[in-house]
Amino acid sequence: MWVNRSNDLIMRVSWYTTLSIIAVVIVTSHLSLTEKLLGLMGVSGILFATSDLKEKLESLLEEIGKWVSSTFSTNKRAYLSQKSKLSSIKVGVVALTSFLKVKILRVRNLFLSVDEREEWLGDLREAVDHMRYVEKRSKWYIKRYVFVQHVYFGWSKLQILLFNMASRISKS
Amino acid sequence: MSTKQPELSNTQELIMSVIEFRQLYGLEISKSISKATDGKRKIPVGSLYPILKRLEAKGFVKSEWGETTEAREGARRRYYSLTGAGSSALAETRAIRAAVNAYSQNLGGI
Repeated sequence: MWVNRSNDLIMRVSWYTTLSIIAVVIVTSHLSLTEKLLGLMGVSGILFATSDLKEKLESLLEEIGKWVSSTFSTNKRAYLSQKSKLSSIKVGVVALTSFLKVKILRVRNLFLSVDEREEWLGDLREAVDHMRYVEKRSKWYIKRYVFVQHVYFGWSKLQILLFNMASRISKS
Repeated sequence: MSTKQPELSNTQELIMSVIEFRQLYGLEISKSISKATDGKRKIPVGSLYPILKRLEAKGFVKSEWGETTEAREGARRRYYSLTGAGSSALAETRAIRAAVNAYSQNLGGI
């Protein structure tokens, strides 16, 4: 499929690019940044022209075109039947929905007046502050509860000891 | 009794009931409703402000700026209270509901 071909192509392109960058950096260390960039563009152009990348890119574009046309034509059902594609579509829909929600919120925020923004943001800040306070208080309550339980436990143990001692003394 | 319907939704009635006898700001209104209903009814802040704005536009609610606190980082509180028209609209809505309840109870007795 075109996916494998594209992977191969991407690997090759990235290798060519990396090698080109390294070569240009080494060879043109004495040149300015503009000259280096021009050199890089030239080398990439030569590589592109001399290799079979052009044909591969064209074939890749053809494959993409076929896939797009088949997805949005009568073969759509066949493509959608694949589980992986369905899950990816679901993920896409969820991502798109959340993206739109955030955008809508931002747009809504844009249309708020200064007064409304002051009121909304103030209440929001206050709510967050209260949540932090509750969180701190609950931590403190837990610590206090644990301490009190330890004290009660120690006291009850001491009482048992005292009773034992008293009973022994009374027996003797 | 006026012939014009007060047209108060359940949420609007709840909000107006909470601010009937005292001035409250947005967050306090939301908290009061949640507290009064044991968390069964919660009005998110995002929905609360548009409702308050609508009620204010209708003339049922009036608002005024209050103080700021450290937690609000300079932003003032906006206190809402019921107007005369709001009080009568609320009373009318309650009367209509009570009448409907009484009517349905009488029907049940028949």
